[in-house]
Amino acid sequence: MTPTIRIFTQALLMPDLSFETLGDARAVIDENGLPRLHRTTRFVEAEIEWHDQRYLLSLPLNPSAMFRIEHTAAALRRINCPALTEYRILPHELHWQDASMNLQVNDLVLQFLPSGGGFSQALHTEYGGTLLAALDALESELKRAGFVHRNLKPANLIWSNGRFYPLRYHDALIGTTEASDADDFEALRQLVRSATSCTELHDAAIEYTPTPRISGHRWAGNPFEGLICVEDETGFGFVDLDNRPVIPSQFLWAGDFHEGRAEVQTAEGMGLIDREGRFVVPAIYEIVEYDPATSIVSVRQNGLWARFDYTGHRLTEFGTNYAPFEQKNHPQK
Amino acid sequence: MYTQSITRNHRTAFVLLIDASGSMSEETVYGGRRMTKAEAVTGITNALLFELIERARRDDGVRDYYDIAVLGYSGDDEVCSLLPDGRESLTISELAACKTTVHTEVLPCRLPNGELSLRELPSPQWIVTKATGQTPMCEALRRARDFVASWCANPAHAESFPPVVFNITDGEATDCEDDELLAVSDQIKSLRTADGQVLLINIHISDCGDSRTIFFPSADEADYPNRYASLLYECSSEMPHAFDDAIREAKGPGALPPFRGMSFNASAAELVAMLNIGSISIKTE
Repeated sequence: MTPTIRIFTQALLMPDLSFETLGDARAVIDENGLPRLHRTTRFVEAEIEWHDQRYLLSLPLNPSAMFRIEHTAAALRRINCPALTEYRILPHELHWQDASMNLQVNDLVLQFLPSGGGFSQALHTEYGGTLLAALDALESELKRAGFVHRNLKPANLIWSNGRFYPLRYHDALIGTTEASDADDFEALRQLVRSATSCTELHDAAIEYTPTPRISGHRWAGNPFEGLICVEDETGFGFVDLDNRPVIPSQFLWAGDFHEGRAEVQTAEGMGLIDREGRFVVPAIYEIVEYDPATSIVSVRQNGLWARFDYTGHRLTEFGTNYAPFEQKNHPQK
Repeated sequence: MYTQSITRNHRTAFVLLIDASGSMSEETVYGGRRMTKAEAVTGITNALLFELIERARRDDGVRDYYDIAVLGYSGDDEVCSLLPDGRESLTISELAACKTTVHTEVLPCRLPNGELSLRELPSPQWIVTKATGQTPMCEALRRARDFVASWCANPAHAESFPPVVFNITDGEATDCEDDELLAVSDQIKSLRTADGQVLLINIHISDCGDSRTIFFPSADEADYPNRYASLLYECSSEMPHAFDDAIREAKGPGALPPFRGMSFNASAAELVAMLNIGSISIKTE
């Protein structure tokens, strides 16, 4: 059953009784003590603070809304694109009682919110050339990742540390050539040009200091927990914020650090490392998926899944055909 | 039919008819709590208004997706608008801009150990209802009929999703015979836009002894405890097939259409959420 927006509001005000994993989250509230809500076409969302980070928490307003984003949320776990922030489905997250006092459960969507301001704010604080360059960079990064947002507009962009991050991937497509964000990017550039036209006249006379970047690598990601994933000739590794090597570039692939853990791929398989590069889960498995919200690692071997804890101890036998998070989504299987 | 996207150019209308008669001072059990029927109706009404405002909220503010009319009926055959300044209707953005009082609602919540706990939560109120006098429901339905007829006749609304009329009552009309009530209900249901006929949904608040919740009943569920509820069932719209899947999703796969636009102790906001009215638009303007 689809909950009302009012039910979502009440859940945000008593998260300890309403949320499975976000019990200690706090909603940003207005002067009346009510959560600040925002609507998109198929979702209602609220900004929350959880473990000293900001997130957007979204409730689908009809069952089909979640089906549409399942592929996106799953595919994003495999994409190494610094412009894209964590976006995942929290299965069975919202608990509520209907009018008959029956317990109902619904999935929610959680997206990490980088600290920063909106597009409009950036128009007032940044030079036009800076913003246009940032839009160019974002367009390139999304193209390289095969990610088409399909709803890029000022309200869906956040300006943080000298770059734009797109938000709300509810309409996104991944790995398609049939859609493009080109028109949206052009409209955004037009907004920048018109809003900063006076500044543009003087840009040439202003000393322009580009945002410091990590250089000397084939590719560099964004800082996560003080470490930046980089790709060199020898593979993926991690450097600190001053570009000093921390974990040698030796992996076929590496994800970003969350709660002190990062998924990595070697020739032997996938594993999980800590901040010193030590294997917490050896890189011998087909798939390793770490969920920082629960500190649970889902591991697949010979097509069967098991769960490991944060320290690498196996919690369950290898014995199901579906990862735990998939089981929740597909109980009929 | 019933597929028109609700947009600012194709807005729809919600009409709420609120029974504020003396019988509404009786007690009922609603949402697990004992309260007067008037308090239950006030809660249902404000919850629906909150739901509609939030469904219309976008990054540029509350968009005018809906027109809202709220009529109370009570006293000596009195039917009057309960909206601020007594206006016949407001756009949803006008309603959102109205000053509200935020009162504290006490909700019973189930703790993980199974015990019940009471939590105080802020709850905005646009409408407050009283409980006095008689139940001129027929006159209220006539007023709703006239408003909806005028609304549908406006060329700007010709293509719109049709208006939805919610009548929230304990069911005891005092100003008409049953056939009169059925007749005016049929007149409302016969009004239409190009997208479908007007939906008349009756929300019946039960007496204290019956706290069960029924929504969108099919014929075999219509075993109502009193004749007023049975009459309201007859007055309610048969829900269009376009909503069958949504209703079955809420009621369970065993539910078989046709369903009636009626509920027993369920809130209007829940019904709107079930039907996803106001969010059926795939496009955004």
